[in-house]
Amino acid sequence: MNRLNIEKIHEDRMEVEVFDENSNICVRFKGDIDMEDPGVFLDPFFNQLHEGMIAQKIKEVKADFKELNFLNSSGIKAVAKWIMKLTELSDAEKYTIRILYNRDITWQVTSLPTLNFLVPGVVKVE
Amino acid sequence: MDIFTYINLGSFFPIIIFTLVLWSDIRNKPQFGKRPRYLLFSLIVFCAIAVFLIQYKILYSFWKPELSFPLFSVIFPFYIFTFFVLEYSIHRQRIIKSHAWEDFKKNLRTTIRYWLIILGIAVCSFFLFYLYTLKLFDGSIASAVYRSETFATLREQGLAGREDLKTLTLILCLAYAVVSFLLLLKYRKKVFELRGGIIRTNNFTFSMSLLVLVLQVGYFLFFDGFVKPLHSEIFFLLTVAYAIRVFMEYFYQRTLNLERTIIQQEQSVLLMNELVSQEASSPLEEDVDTLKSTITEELDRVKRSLPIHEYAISGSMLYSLEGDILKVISPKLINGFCTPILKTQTIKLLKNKKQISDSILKTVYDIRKISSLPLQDLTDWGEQIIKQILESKEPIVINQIPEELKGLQRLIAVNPIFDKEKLIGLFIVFKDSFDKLFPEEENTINWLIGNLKIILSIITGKRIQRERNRLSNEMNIAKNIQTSILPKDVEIPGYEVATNMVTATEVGGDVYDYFCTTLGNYIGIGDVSGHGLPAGIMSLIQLVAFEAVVMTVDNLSRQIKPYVLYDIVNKLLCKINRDRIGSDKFMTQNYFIEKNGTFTYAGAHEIALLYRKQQDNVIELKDLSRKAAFMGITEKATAKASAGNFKMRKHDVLLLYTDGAIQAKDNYGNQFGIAKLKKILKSNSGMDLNKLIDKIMKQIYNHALNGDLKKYCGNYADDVSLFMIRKK
Repeated sequence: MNRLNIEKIHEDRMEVEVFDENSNICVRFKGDIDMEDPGVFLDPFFNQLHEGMIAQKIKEVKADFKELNFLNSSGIKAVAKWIMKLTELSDAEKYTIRILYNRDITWQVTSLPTLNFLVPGVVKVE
Repeated sequence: MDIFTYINLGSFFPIIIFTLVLWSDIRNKPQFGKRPRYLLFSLIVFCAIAVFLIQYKILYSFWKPELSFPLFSVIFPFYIFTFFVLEYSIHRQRIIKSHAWEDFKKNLRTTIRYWLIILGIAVCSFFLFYLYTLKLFDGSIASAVYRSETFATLREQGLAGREDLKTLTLILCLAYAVVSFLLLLKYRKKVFELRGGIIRTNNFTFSMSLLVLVLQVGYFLFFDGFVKPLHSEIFFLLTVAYAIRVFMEYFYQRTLNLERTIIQQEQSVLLMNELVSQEASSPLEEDVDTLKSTITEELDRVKRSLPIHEYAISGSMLYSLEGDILKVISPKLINGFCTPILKTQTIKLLKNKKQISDSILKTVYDIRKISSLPLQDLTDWGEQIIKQILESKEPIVINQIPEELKGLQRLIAVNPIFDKEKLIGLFIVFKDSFDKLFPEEENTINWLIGNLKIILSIITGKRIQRERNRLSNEMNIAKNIQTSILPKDVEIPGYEVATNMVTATEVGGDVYDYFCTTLGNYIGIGDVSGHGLPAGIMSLIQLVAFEAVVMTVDNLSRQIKPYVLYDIVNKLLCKINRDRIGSDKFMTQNYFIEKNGTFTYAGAHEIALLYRKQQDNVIELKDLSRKAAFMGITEKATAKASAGNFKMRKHDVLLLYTDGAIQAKDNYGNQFGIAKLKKILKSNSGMDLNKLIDKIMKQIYNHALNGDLKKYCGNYADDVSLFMIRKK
């Protein structure tokens, strides 16, 4: 278990797991997210993650999408909603999100870098 | 003892065993009520007779002619009593269910004196028999009189002889017969004489008893009262009569009833099927007539079957659910004399049927309100009744009529119609001259409730279907809007253009547009996340915003940079689509402005493909996809970083598309992909654009044939749009 006490999600063909990585947190997405409304799982997950990050004053989270084959538009919306939460935070509370993507997967190439532009300065897409 | 004595005494046992088995079979069946208890009682009396007769025959194994009268007069009333209890056990349920209990008790009271006379005769006869067994009294009445001192004196004086004694016996016997006959007549006429039809006409007991009386009197007359013994054949007749009656009513009639019930059920199933097929095929407008005829026909039928027509149901009305409102949907559903379920004096002021119907039609009930409030907060009488029904799921019969309705109605029965757990209607019946429902009426109401439930469910189903059709039509209109807002024949000066869009099952969000001005030609292509009407609305807003902004700048003879256009449309989408409509959709979008072969662009959509004629290769314009935030999420984002440009030379081809094209999956889940698109573009770069677009569409179709197209019944998972231009 990680220090945020977030349990692994395993729904349909999607798998989301949280790890501790030194002083930071890593969220790893695997499989396919193509269910009708992934927000049902992802929204509460990101809420918990967001609150945990603030409460434990963790400054960086790595979101690793490299093994995620597919993320539908509702899934992208859920990720965008999470990122948009950062706009509500004070500078002291703010943390950064490093998004790792796979350059061999087209949707990742076209979609994930755009998240960089939602809240300038807090998202790094690598 | 003669053969008849054996037969008579022997006949008791099988009858007792048969009746006992019958009794034990029905004793715990609720539909018999307390009937088995009285059957057992009559059997006990019957057994007492058997014991008495057997004991008599064993104790006095020779004939005692002088005992024939006292014995007959003791046992005969016992038989009659047994028959009476048996008859009562047969008719009890009907008497109670038909609310004739009071009448029956009255009849019993008026006939009690006749029963007392019979009892008196039985007691006197028993006393005579008792005296005889004590040897205090030797012989028959005639022989006693014959031996008395008074008679001896009369005989000595020659005033009386043996013939006179015969006459005396005859008179006594006839007097007993007449009294018994009259009593039987009274018993038949009075005790079970209830409102016609309640008790089936049956003179069996009466006829048998009468036959026995006639036989007995005949014997007395024939054997002059002195010599005739107690006739076993007469009692045997009575014993058989008892057996036949039990068999007829508890065995034969039950079987008959069972058959009748099965036939009735078969008929009602047939009727119901007929009703369902008629109802399912009739237009919604005729449903009221079907409901009306179903109700009136059944109520008329039950009225005809009732003993007193004046006591039948005098009015009925049907409430049905429309949305959350229970109401009478048509005056046709108010039959006979009904009143609104209101405790108000004004009801008595309603002058004619029209005013009453209007008042009923206005009295409607909001089920949601009634369900949400506690009973004590409901002030309206009707609402209180419905609340109780919702809680108990049982009908409510009101025979304590409130003051306001007294003189108008004597009974109001509110029968709920539930479809599973949901109240879908109320069938309310009224009686203006009787305060109880007859069993036939209750059965009919139950039958009607079952049928009304089916009809109302079908009506609801039809309404839903109609509404669904309407919505489906509207969705078609919405779908049409999505395809019809797209430009039909795209013409850009200096370019050859071809477009194509295939929609998925629902309204999608693919959109492309162009606008040519003297200062440059604008092109836009985008895709809203997800499907459905909200996606269609967002694409429409985007398109209108694009057209409006470009038209405005053109009007001002100005040019607008694509990233500025992107930011304006994005802000507008955040304001209207996100905040006002409350939609959580977002969209990918690219804007281009072309001038003299140079394309300036901005936004984030898909990687565009550009075929370079000179190099004969296809390059991926990746920056079209990843350098801006998607539209409609945040107004704070800007697309400035995505601004860029490229140049098109003669015979270069630009292919813009939406993700539906590259993400169409085959049966292994493999996407069509950019690589294939590039390959087709390269190897067919010189082809007529319309033909090329058809070729690409065909390849996508073949790729998805056993995948997405199979999975979604001939439709793609997402809209597939292509927009191609070639520099002339």
